[in-house]
Amino acid sequence: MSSAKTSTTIPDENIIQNLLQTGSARRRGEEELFSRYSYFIKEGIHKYSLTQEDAFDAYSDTILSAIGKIAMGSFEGRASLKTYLYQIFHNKCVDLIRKNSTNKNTVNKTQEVTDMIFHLSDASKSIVQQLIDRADWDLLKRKLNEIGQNCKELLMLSADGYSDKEIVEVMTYKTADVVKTTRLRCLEKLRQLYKHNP
Amino acid sequence: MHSLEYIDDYFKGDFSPKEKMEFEKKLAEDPNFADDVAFYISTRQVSKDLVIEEKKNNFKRIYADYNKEAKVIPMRRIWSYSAAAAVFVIVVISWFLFMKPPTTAQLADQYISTKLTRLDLSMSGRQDSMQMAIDLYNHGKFAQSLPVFDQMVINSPNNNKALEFAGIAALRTNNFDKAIQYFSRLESLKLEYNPGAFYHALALMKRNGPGDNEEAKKYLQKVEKEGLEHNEDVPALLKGL
Repeated sequence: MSSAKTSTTIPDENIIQNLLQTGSARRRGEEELFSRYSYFIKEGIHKYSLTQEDAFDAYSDTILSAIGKIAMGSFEGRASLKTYLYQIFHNKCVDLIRKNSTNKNTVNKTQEVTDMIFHLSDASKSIVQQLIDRADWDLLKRKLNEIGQNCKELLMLSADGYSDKEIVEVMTYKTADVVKTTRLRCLEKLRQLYKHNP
Repeated sequence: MHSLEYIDDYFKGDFSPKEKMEFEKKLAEDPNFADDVAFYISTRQVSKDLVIEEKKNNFKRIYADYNKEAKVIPMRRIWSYSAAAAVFVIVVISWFLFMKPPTTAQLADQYISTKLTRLDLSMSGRQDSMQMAIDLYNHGKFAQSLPVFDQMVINSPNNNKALEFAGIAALRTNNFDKAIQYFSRLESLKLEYNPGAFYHALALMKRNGPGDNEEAKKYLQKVEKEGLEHNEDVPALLKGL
């Protein structure tokens, strides 16, 4: 685990390189990135008058958003990493301030749907969206925790953006085809558990 | 499992336009298939939520350790607090007798000497003359790098990196008027992240001529208000203006 002190000496380029890898290198990159600019949290508290918890959430979401963009190759490096992160962080703090200052105290329970749905045409999107809204998310989450550690890890890696080929490097599978077959088998197992929930 | 594989292949982006149309047709006509698609997407999202939860828990652990390190140090140094108090009194007296607050030029110097010691190679665009100029700069040969950057700007008047680096090299060699010209031109370019206004303010602070500090303050306020590049460094500089 990187401490904030050692993380400040690691150049941005090295952190980005790690984030473009898989497995432990990528995880190291994520921790380095988080540690490097974690002082933003105090900025969130002092400059935006957020609670520690809100400031931490804003910063964590900033890092997760940046990790996603860097891992996909969307970060082009036209701005410094610090500036890039700070702009995301600033926007998240402002969003939190707006949310806290309105009277809408109910936490938004609408499930945020993955970008996948935007692959579909508008007509298909609305059919699927209605079905998604009727899904029991808590049950699905519980069943995901019950299908076994291997299956759970496989589905989580896939959701985290790892291709079947990259999963071969992280887990002990021989080929990408084996990963795909296993992953689909896990999905089927999950479906059975979910549909036949006692 | 067959339908899940079919759905998986669709979302991997492997389908031709004709195959995509067939997929959408099946989705519209077959409720069971639509259900499978919804399940696939829902599972994906729930899995992603678990990933995010795991990463945030890891971040919490890292941050807790970071805060613990920060708190432990004062406890270990309690024995030195009385000595530190005596030193503090001497320092305060000396400050009033001998020291003045840093001038705006000194503030700008502090920033330049810590943040502009190197130009980032990753943004170099890999052009040979640019690489040479950056190497010269990064080896502390500011005066030698400046004419190379100058030529790059002549060859490519709207190259934002040439303008930025030429301006910084001019700043390091105390050619403030030239630096300001380069940064003004940089500001006028339409860029997603434009550091021109911030560096313009820095050059004004260094030049420190009549009216420069007021002008620098306006630039810094603009950088802060519009969220321009380096806006996170503005508060420290504004304090001195």
